[in-house]
Amino acid sequence: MTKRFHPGKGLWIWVCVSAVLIIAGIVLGCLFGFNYTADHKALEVTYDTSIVAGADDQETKLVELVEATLDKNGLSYEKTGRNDEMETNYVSENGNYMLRYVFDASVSDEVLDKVCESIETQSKTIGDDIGVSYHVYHSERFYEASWRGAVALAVAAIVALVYVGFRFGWDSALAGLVACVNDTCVSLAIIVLTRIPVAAYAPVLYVGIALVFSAILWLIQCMKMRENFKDPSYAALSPEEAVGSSVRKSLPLALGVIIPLVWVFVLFGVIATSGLRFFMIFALIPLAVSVYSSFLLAPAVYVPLKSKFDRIRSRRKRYFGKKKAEAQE
Amino acid sequence: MGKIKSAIVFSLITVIIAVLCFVCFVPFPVGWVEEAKEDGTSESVPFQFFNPIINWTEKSADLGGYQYGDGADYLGGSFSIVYYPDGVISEQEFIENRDAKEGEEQTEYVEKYTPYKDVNGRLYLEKDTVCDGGETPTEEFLSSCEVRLETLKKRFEGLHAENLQLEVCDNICVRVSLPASMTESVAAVIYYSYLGQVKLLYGTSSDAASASQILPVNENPMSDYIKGVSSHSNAAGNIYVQVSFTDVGREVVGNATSGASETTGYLFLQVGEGNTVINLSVSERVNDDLYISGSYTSETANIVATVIDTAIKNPNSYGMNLGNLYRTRANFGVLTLGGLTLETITLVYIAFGILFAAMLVFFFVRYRRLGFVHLYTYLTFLTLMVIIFWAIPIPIGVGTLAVLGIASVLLSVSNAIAFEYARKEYAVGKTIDSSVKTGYKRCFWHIFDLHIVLLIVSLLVYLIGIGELSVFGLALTFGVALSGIGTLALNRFLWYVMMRLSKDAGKFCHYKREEVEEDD
Repeated sequence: MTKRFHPGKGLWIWVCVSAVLIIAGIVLGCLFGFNYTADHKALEVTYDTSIVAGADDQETKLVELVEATLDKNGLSYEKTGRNDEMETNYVSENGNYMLRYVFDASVSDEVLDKVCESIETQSKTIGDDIGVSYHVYHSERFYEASWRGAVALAVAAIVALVYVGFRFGWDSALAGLVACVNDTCVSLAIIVLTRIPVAAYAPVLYVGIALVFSAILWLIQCMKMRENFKDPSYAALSPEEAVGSSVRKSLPLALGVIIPLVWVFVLFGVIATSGLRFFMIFALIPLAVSVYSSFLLAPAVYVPLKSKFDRIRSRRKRYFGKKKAEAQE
Repeated sequence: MGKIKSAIVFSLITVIIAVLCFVCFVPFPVGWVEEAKEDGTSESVPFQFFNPIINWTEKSADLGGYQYGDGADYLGGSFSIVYYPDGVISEQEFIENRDAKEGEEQTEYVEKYTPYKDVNGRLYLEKDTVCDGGETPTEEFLSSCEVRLETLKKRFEGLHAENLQLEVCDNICVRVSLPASMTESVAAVIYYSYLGQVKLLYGTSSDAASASQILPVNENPMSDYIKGVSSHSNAAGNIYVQVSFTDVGREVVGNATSGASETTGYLFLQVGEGNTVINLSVSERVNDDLYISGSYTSETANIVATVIDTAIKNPNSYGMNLGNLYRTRANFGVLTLGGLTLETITLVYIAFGILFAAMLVFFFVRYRRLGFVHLYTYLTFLTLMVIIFWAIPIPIGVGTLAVLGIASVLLSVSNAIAFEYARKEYAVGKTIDSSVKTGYKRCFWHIFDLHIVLLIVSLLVYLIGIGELSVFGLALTFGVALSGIGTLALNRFLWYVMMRLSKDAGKFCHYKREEVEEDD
């Protein structure tokens, strides 16, 4: 497999791939924005303590009645469990309760009207004070969290890459910066393009996760390159060959990080319920984008940078060598 | 360290980790009660439980759960409430009020309201207030709803709370969900419902009803007199609300309070009709801004300051009524498998258990008994993370779980790197002690760089970001720090201790020498 894998090459192909994705994401994002799970409908069933404390487990019967009616009408829903009504003065339960079932906004009002009527009629056998209603909700977003998040991530990326610059050289830092910017932008672009439904807080968290993955995977490449480039056999190789060979050698270590992370997100996504599932499964997008940039885009960006910085280093070395020789004379 | 010392240290560490795990994760009964059975006999039933720290940790709205025992509290979740504009009530309230009346009174009541079916929700509108006597809401009313929404958005956004949700309900109401972990969530809900003109009253009695209005004067906007209201804390940790007056405002308040040195006066800051938000006694003429301290926490001071500030900057005369306050449980609900109903938090435990088992299989298969070193390090890391989540507190939610996953992978990979470097050293013929030392020396900067970069990122994200991202950053900061310390210090120390207990250290680590061809 690694024979066909040529990291460090095809800079313009990867730049084009990223650019196409980002531009398409920006265009679609400007037109439609993220596919926020903003609109939904909720069926609310209210009842009091006489149902809960009554004989024959009336509350269970009510829950069964509501859910059977929803199933009968072919509605899939998210159940939020029993909500306790509280006294605002003392923040204590007052013996009233509410069952809440959340539906997609596309569920028709006719069906919900029918469901409400059906539950209202049938619930008379369980108790008198059972109220049934449904409402249409539209989630609002807070923009301060988004722009503060963007500033935080930009500052964090720059400071982290300054450290990388000092430790591994400015060519590595610049390539890392390209990788970070690419990963965050492409991750968001893919989320926009695929119309993945996201919660209001999710995009900024995905960007954060992309940045973390990007930093980890590019650092692995930097470490491996520094280690490998000390090997005398690398001195004879061109920058493209040297970078390609090092990236290939970093594959086992990088996979050692990537595979467990995939496991974490897949398993949390598969086992947990809806909200967590969506977040964790789609967190694989920033991970996949980081893998792409650390193995393909960033090494390809790094090759010309390394050539340029190597030339500068050798010129500086010659200059200081000359100065030293003159001083010794 | 000799074998006996190592055995003692190892036993001690085992006991500490076992206790930590027990305290963090295992609930157990601590009190029993005799309960009569149907056949006349009785049996002991546990009624009091020790709640492990994981149960005490705050959980965000998506991961709430019960504590063990009778009358157990529900931890996590959120508080939710609907704000109704003046003249709008829920169908439930309409039916309750209607049924409470009889005859002509009931007919009058029914005629007073019209159902708002435009949005297919179930709300009732007061015809005179909302519909100008007709059946549909007026344009003016609908635009007033937008003003209410914007004001509420500004107010709640200022809380910087994670898991805060604000939804427009049936186009005209607003539903807000606040994390139950926020101490003052109910106070915020009530205070933020205050809309209307801001007034400053002054009187010589502590009863606001007898005080007279000193600001604003001549129907000028309050912003002519008060520049803004903000909350602060000083170096001594005192939290206060600052009311900043303009020059004109300061002069008017100074004149009004000029007699305070003789007779103690009282200042009342009200938002809307009779909602006193600040009440303070004045014993001398006010010549400067007001600095109000007392029993404020940072949350309450922020809430009070935000209410007044937004009411001054967005003046309107609209009103809002609070609906029922609900404590909402696990937002992400439950999964039903056959007859088994599992809450989200239980499912998270199952997922985590599988990942934990997979990690152990890898380490024990590849490194055999050396896997115990990683197990001990990981358990210490995990228990400390849980204790930190509980102590800070950091609510366990979607972002925190992602952090726990990332930090666990980081720790496992870092340990595996250390083990592999030592393996290479051992293979070329070094002693095990020397292999561990040289292995760690060779991989130190790799592990250090990885951790320090992530630490920089997470710390800055925590300091600059707000809401979910800030919580993510804070949790990641601790996760990365503990992972780094775990790998570079604890793992090495445990390795050193445990290796001493084995006769053949090479076998303990499942390391092999490279085979060298011997010359004949």
